[in-house]
Amino acid sequence: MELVVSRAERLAELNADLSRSNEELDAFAYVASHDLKEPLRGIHKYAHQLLEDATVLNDEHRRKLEALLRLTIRMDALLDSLLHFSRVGRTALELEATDLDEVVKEAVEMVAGRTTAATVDLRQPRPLPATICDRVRIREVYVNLIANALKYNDHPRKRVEVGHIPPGEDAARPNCPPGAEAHTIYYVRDDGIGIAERHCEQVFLMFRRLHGRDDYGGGSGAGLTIVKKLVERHRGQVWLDSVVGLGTTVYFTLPAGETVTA
Amino acid sequence: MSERGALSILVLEDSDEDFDTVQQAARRAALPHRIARALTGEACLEMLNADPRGPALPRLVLLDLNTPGMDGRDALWEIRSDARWMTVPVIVLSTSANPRDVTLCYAGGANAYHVKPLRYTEHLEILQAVFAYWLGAVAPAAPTDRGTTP
Repeated sequence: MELVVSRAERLAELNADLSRSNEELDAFAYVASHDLKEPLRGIHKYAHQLLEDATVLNDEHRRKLEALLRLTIRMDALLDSLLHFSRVGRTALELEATDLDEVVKEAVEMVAGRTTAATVDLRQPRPLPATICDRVRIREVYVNLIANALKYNDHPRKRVEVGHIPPGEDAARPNCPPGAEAHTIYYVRDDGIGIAERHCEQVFLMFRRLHGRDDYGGGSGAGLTIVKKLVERHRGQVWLDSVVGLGTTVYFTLPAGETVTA
Repeated sequence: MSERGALSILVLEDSDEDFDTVQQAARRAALPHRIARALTGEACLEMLNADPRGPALPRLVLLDLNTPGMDGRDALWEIRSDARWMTVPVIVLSTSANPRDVTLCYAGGANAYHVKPLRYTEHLEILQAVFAYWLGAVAPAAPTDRGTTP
């Protein structure tokens, strides 16, 4: 009995340590990226001025200075992603009753604009359930997932399916982590290029890109990392199922709101 | 009353590069104003307190938020809690795009908040727009003798 208690205490201690170190990491990421921006602005400025003002530049000098400018712009984008990521981890959730269909509609508009019919085949098999979640953050999840579905897709008209699987329903739940089937599972499915199995874990890592820096519209490689963090803030899990050449489905759960309803 | 003091801009900025950008923007806008620079919040308040050129306030204060010593946030509170400085336009220019910083500054009485962009040309454009608006378009508060009016 005593052994059980002390192990429970130890576990609680470890959990407290873990959440503290996560908070410190978020704060660190915030301060570091913020403070790195100032010198970066200085570097960008001098490269810009050299390019504008110097009268004796040859082509190679010019090329190198232009590369320097591009690199500062890229680093600035990476720092923005890092700042955003740390903010996602630190700000409190605002849970509220949310119409997810409305959220998805807004997300699609934010990603693809209003004229989508010609290039996007959006499918919603049935209305999404009423949910309690942080509306703005879950919209960001959908924005990221729908943006990826359209971005990593070579078809002229890209198919995106947004749906859900209620708990207890007889449906395939590929790669579903243990316990997640007890919750409503939300998904975004595409008919895009797919992700090789060996990369399925890596895509959730910060700044991890599977393609060249400027392929598939560039991007910082932070999108899925931020999705994972947002879902985890709702005590959910995110995973994917993909076949190269056929498409990808990203699944996630949002238990935080379900506990509130219960 | 001295008119010279009325034609000044006070800049709290610890980065040499960013201060140089302010000066560059002022040159491009052909501003006649004297530009005074403070590196810390304390120095900024001292300069407001003891401008040797006359009793009038600067026409514009530009505040960076993250400076050594007293930072721009605290300098903003001090400026806004002193009746003599209540009417001076204070514009925040910061690297931070954190909504909390933005809200905090507006709540503290900043007239505008700008995030300093990475791109030099955009940075210059923002400053020139600030100058054009606050030194050109708006009607300034009537000059008053410092210390005699609340």
